Amino acid sequence: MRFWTAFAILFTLSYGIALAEEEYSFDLSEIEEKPLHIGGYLEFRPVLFGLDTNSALYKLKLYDRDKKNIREEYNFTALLDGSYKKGTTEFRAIVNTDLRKSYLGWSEETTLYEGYMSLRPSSTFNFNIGKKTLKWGKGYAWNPVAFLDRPKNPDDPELAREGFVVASADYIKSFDGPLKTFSFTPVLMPVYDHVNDDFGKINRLNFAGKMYFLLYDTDIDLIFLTGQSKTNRYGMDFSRNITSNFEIHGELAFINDYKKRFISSDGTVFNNEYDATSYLLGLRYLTKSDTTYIFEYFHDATGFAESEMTDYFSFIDQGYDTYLTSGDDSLLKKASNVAGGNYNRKNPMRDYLYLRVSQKEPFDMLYFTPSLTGIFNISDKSFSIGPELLYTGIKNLELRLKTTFLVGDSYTEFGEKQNDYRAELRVRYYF
Amino acid sequence: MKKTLFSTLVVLSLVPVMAYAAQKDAAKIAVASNSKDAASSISSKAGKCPYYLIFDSTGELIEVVENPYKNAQSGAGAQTANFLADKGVTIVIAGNFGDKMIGVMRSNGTDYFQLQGIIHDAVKKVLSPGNQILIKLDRNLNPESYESYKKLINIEPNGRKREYVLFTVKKGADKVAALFLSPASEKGRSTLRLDENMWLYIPNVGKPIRITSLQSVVGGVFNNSDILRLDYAAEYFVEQMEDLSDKYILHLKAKTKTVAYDKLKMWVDKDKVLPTRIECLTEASMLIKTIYFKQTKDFGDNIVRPSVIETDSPLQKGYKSVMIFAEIKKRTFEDEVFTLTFMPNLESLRQ
Repeated sequence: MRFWTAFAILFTLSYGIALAEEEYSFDLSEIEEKPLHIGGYLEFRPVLFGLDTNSALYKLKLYDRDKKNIREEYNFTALLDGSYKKGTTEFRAIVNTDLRKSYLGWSEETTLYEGYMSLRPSSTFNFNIGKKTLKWGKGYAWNPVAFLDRPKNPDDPELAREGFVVASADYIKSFDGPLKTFSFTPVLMPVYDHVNDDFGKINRLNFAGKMYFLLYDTDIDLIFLTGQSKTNRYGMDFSRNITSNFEIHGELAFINDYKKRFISSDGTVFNNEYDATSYLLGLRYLTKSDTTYIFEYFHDATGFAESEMTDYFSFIDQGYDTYLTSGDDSLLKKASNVAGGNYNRKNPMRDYLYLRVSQKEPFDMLYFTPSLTGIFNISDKSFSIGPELLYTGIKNLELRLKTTFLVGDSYTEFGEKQNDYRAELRVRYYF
Repeated sequence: MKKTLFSTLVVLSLVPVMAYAAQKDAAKIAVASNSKDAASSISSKAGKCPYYLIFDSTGELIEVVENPYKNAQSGAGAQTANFLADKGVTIVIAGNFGDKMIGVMRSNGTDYFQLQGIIHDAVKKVLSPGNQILIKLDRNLNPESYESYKKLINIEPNGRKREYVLFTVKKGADKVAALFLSPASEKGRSTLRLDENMWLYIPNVGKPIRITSLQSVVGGVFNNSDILRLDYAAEYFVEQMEDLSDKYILHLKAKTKTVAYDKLKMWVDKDKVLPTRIECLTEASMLIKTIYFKQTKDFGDNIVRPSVIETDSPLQKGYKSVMIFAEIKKRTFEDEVFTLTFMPNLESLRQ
C-alpha cells in the first residue's frame, strides 16, 4: 500500500515537474542562426465599394461603364521576403504579387518591392546597392521630406511600398555628451530608361543625402536631393518625447522651382513654377488606459487651392455632359491626362488634419484593437472617417475589418471621390 | 564537518560585504552646495550651484571646490558634469538635475542621486550598504555589456499562451537593443533604448518610431522598460534597507520622474546577492506588479543568475508573463550598434 502511495506521489510530482518544464521550455533550435531565411505573408482582401455615381471622379473614371451603386473587388496578395547572409554580406528580396478580381475581370501584378545587397564591414559603416525603400521622414500619414520614396497612402500608412534602385551607405558615429549619435546616409539614384524612369527626368544621376543627429534627446534629420530628375529640394525633420507618453514630430520641405500643372474650367492647361515650402506638425499621445492618439497637420505647398480644384471638377462635369450628349469623350480624356501625378494624388489639396485614435484591448477584449481614423480637408471642409477593428488573437494571423466613409459637398475633395464608402476585410497570415 | 560548513557560510556572507567595500574605496562623492559647510542643505541646482563638497569613500570631507560654471549662460549642467568627472568624482548628489547633465554623467559613467536634506546625511545614505548591495546585484544579474537570448511568454487566464523570442544586446549603463526572432508576424522588429529614449522599428513599414516605457511592444504584463531593462542602480537608489537573517529587503526610489516605477521593494538573497522578488510601486505605494526570480542557472563565464522571471499584476488579474533566458554571454559592442540608423541591421550581430 505504501509502495503504491509513494508511486502515486512520485508520479504526480514528476508529472507536475514535467508540466512545469514544458510550460517554460526554450529550445535552443529556436535561436539558431540560419544563413537563409524566407518569410512573408499571404493575404485575402475582399472590398465593397459604395459608389457615388454623381461624383466627378466617378464620371471621369467610369463614364463608359454600366452605372452601378455597388462594386465588389477580391484581392489576393503574397508578399515574399527572403534573405541570404554570408559573413558581412546579405542579399535580400521582397516580392509582392497581387491577384485581383474586379469589374474589369482578373488581373495579376508582380512587383519587386526591394532587392538589394548589403555589405556591413563594421557597425559604423554599411553599404547597400539595389532596389530599396528608404522611408525618410517622421510623419505618420504624410512625409513631405521623403524625397526618394513613393508616397504613402494616408488611409493605410503602414502598407509595404515599392522602392527605387539606389546605391547608399550609412556612416554612424556615437559620442558622449549632448550629441549622442550622428549618421550620414549618402544616396546615388540613377534615372534612366527602365531604371527608376517613373521618378522624374531620365538620363540623370541624382544625389541625395540624410544627416541624422540625436541631439539633446531629439531626433533631427537634415535632408537634400539634387540632380535634375526633379528640381532641388531640401528638408529637415525632428521627433522628441516631451514626456514618456507624449511625442511631437515635424517635417519641413523646400522645393525649388516646383512646376504645377493645372487646368481651368474651360480646359486651358496652365503651368505654374514657384518655390514650395511644405510642412507637417504632429504628435503621438498615449493615455494610461492605452488609448493612442496620433494627430497631424499637413500643409502641402505643392497641392491645389480650393478654386483650382473647383475648376477641375467643373471641367470634368462639362466633359461628362459633352459625352452624354455627343458620345465625345475627348474632354474627359484631357481631364484624365492632366490628373496623372497631380489631381489624382491621394490628397491633392493644401491643408489637412489627420487624427487616429486607437484603443488597445478595450473592456478586457484581448487582442482586439478598435480604432478610428479621420482625414479632414481644412480648405473645403470635406473629410473621410474610418472605423477599424483589428484582431490578432491567433498566432501569425491578423484580421482587420475597416470601413471608410467619405463626406463632402459638391466640388469638394472627398465629396467628388468616386466612392461614398468602402468596406474591406483583410485576412493576413504571416509565415 | 559542522566547522567547515560554518566557515563556508562565513566566507560566503563576507563576499558581498568585501565587494561593496572595494566599490566604496573607489567612490568619490561630490555634493552640490550653496555654502562650504557640510552641515548645510543640498543645493537644488546641480549645474549652477556655487560649490561642490567632495567626500571620500569613508564619508570624510576632503575638498571644497568652487563651481566654475555657476554663472554660465548656457550648458552649465553638461560642463559641470565634465568638470566633476575630471576631478575623479564617481557620484554626484544634488537636489535636482537637468536632463542634459544626467545625459553627460551617464556617458561619463558618473552615478548620481537626487536628494534633499543635509549634506552629511545624504553622503551617509549614498555610502550605505544598501546602495552597494544594489550595485553588486546588478553585476550578478548580468555583465555590464552582454548579449542574450530570451523568450517572453504571455499567459492568459484561460491558460492560452503567446510566445516571443528576442535577441538582446546591452552596453554600459544606458544602451539596450532587442531584435524579435519569432513569431513570424513580429520577426525583424527591433527596439532600442538609449537612456530614457525608446524606439520601435518595424521592417517594411517605416522608420523607427518613438515608444514609451509604460507601453508594451508584446502586450502582457511586462512593459517596454522591463524588456529593455537598464541596471537597477542606474535608475534607483536605496532609501532604506532591512537586514534580515537570510535576506535583505531594499526599498528603492526612482532617481528621476521618467523612470517607469516610482518605487521598488526588492527581496535579495543574502548569500547569492540576487533578487528573489520585486514589488513595483507607485509614489503612493500602490502595487503595480510583482516580479519573481526563479531557477538560478549557471550560464558560464561566472554568470550564475535566475533563468526564469515571472510577473503578475493586480491591475491585470489572472494574467501572467514569463521571461526565460537561454543564453547570456559577455560581449562588447561598438556604441554605433545602439543607434536608430543601425536598428534595421541588428540581425547582423548574431553569431
